[in-house]
Amino acid sequence: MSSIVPSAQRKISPRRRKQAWIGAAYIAPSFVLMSIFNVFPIFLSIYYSFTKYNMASPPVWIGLENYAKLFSNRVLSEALVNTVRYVLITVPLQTVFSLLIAAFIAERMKNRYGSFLRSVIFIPVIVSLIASATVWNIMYQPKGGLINQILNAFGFDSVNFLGKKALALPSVAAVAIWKGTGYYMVIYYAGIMNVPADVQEAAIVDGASPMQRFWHITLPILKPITYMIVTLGIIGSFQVFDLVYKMTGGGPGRSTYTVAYVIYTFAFQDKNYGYASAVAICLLIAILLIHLIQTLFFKEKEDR
Amino acid sequence: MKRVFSMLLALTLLISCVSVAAAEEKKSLTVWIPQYQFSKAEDAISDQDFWDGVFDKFEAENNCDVKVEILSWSDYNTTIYTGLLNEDGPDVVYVTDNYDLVKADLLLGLEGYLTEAEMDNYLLWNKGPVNAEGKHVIVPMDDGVAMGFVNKDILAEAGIEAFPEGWDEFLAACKTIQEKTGKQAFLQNWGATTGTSALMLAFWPYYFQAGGVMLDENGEISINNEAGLKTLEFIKSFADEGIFDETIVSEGESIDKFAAGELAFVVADLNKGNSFTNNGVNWEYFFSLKGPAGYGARTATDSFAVSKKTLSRGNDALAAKALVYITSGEVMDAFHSKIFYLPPFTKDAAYSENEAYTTLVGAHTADVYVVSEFEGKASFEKELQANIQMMFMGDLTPQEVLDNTMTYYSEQIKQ
Repeated sequence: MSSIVPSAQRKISPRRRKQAWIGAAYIAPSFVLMSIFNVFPIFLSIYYSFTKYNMASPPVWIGLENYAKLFSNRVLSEALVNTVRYVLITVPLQTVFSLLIAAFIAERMKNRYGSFLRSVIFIPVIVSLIASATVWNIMYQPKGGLINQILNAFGFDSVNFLGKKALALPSVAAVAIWKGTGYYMVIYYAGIMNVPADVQEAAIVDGASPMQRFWHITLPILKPITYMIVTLGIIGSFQVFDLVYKMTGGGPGRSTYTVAYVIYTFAFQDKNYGYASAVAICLLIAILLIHLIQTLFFKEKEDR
Repeated sequence: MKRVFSMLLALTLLISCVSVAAAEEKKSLTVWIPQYQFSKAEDAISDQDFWDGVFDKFEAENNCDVKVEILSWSDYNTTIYTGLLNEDGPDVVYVTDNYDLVKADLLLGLEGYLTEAEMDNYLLWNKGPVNAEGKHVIVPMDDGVAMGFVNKDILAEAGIEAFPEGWDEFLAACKTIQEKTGKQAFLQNWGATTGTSALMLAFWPYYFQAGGVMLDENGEISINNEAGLKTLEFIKSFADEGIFDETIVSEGESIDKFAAGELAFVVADLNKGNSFTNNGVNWEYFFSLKGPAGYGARTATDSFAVSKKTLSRGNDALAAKALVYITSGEVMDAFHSKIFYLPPFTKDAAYSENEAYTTLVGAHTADVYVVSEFEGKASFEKELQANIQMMFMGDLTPQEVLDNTMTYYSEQIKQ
């Protein structure tokens, strides 16, 4: 009996086969494009990371030499520490700010002013990153910059935001938070709007305060969105390059060097594409590991 | 038989016609040049219009088409490196850092294409690099010596009569100026976003004044020496004495301050003189400070070159001819008067806008140094700049700056 049923089950009807082909045809263009522009370059980078390559001559296989070299690279270590600091500043703050703003607008401003506020907070998202960096550079100026003028008006001394080792990275991170909050706020807002009204109403009937409803109903329902936002935030923050490149050039000293900035210098200043690929692969592995830990963390909480 | 003969004759005629047509087929050239026209004046001619006009004559004389592409300065080195690797890249190209291009053998050896007289016409011909076959691959230009500018009014206000050219004298004068006038004495662009920009004006000149030589006998960068240490100690004293302003984080801020009459001394590209004059600053040049080993100023040598890919494209001779044409005195005189002032770099060039500069540099020809090209130069300079910034912040000593920079260079940058 057991030998008959599976063989009958394995038989796929011509209709289903046709459907499968049509399905494959639909995904083929995206699959081909993603393979060419996303998947293939990853494998190519993995290959280059084991070579010495300057684009002018064919890659020369050097085994693990690039990886051995990068583990003793103190500049890369500093860049990694800076990148982690940057992630730890930007991701929690932009997640919390976007959630709070979205909750405030959804709860207290269900009118045209709320729509206006949403648009205003979203505007930085559509501004070019380089333009944002330029404007913030001007605002951070120790002499005549807007922020220091405000500080001076309140009787405080001017602060050299981008010229002080301790302040440069948080100052760059502040721009990223300003720029990213609107994007995540819109996602959170959509999530809050999808919280079932009957659950909220039941809680109100039971006498739950707005804070209790937010804490015990809204927040748990938004958990998948939070997971996505944190994941996107971590990946984006680990790749920070353009803000640093434009605002500080990695300085003062090496206080704003980030991993992506170092990859850029290895690849495009030194023409050392093999070494740059090795660092990029390590960054990819680090991001994957963090993503794995984060998935386990969220899953564990969900299981509880 | 007659028929066969007729057919052969017709075929021969046809082949001849095709050959003649092919021989007469116009060759084409692509020329890459960066933007040099920064004037916003209404009558200022654009780079594109200038070069298109220049090549009209060349195209007519050589029966060819020349396509000029004006590039942005942003990531210029990377752009030309990848362009020269590409089959559709430029034939003639303006080059800034040439080390990687020479090492990757991307440039055409020019001997055999240029006559002896043409090579002799270039003032800096022998300063240019050679390829593995010993052939010169670039035509070096003189981008001008970075000059010192002094605000004579501030000097007079501080009661300083003569320009203080010795290192110690200069430091003392800076302190006097700040005490007596309350104005900033001297600033340098240590906050520039690239190490190359910072070191060009704020390190290499002092290193030359201290008697430093950039490359050792093996052609490798070497600054961990007495001159390097003296240079860093001198630079550090500006920070220690409160002369450098730590709020200067971008290139050009010191130049803006000088143009506003708020700064006594600045070192800048010689072209900045016009904007200082336009702003009503009463200024004059100084060649350089006088360090332990004497005077020393740096000049940059960008260049023009021909892509080696022209060999496979079959337009190598034409490209070399175009190279000679655009660097000729006639064309460069027009360029320097209409687009951007630079000193002449060929013997047949006559244009010189700036007599004071020519006289001053002419009196110091032995004190003008070229910043050498070497492997990983951009990263080396970035690392040195970062370490010097850390020295200013009190994290490193001058000797540690030298040790850390050279160790990092040999372990991580040099391939």
